[in-house]
Amino acid sequence: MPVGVSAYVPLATKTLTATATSVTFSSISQAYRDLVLVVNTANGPVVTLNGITTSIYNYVAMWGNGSTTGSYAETTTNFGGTWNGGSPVRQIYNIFDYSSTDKHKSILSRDDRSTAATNANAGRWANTAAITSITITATLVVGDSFTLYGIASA
Amino acid sequence: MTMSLVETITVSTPVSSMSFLSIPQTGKDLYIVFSGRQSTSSDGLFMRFNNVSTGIYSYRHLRGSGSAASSITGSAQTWIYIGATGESTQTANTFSSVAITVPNYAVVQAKSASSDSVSENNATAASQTLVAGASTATTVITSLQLLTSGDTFVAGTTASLYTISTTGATGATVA
Repeated sequence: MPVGVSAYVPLATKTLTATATSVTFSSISQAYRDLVLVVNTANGPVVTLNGITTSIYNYVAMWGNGSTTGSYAETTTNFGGTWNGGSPVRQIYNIFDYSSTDKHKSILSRDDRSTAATNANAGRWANTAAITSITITATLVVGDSFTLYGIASA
Repeated sequence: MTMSLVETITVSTPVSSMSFLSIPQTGKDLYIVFSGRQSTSSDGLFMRFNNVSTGIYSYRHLRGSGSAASSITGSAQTWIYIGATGESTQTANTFSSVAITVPNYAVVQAKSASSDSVSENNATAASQTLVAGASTATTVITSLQLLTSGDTFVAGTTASLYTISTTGATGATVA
């Protein structure tokens, strides 16, 4: 990559001006190496890829809620949390090699709410398809924001 | 350029705080990279927005020490505990590394922050810390302070502030 060319490129962003039940990034450019998704919502969202809601979302989580720590593994139908109310939820997903078609996708994420817990997750999406869409689902309110970045490689 | 360096502060003589002032309002998120050490056995790194020192901050953290995990919380605090610095009992010349993100800093709404930090030590007692923080103040962030726990940052401590912009976003559709 030439010097001076940005490696961290905004692909799309949205801030809600009305309530909604989901936000979807679609037609995602396949020109980047990795994706970064930043989600700021009032209520705990879940994330699905390519519209698939079967149990192909695997992750290992560790968390601390201010007094207790824990770790668990899960296979389920989405990534993300289900917290509601209180301070804003902030999630950031690092999605690696999202345009590949020969591997399951690896995802590292943080899922934070200062009045509930801080979480770190290592995930695997058990599908070899390139990721072309991302859907965030929750009780979404005015002011919730969503940004998708592409990370360029050399 | 999406990420733009606003300022790097390098400590040349020990100071108890570092301040980024007149932060441009042209970005969406703030990203701070800190490398630091304190002069005594204190290792807490704290953060304030707009130098407000009233009890508007809260946080929860998850910490691994190499042998155990722990978690603490604070509410109605006068700062966010945002990570760990190196400290005097740790291996000489080792500094901690902390990455902090503050989303939607230029929007009139309550603010959140997340961080990852590691302290370095050639011994068993080092740490990795994840933090979720928040401020109930809705004002836009025009300045940001990094503080010690009544100690001083040693010479060589650095902090860089970046803004992350979404201007001209293209490459996906969102609805």
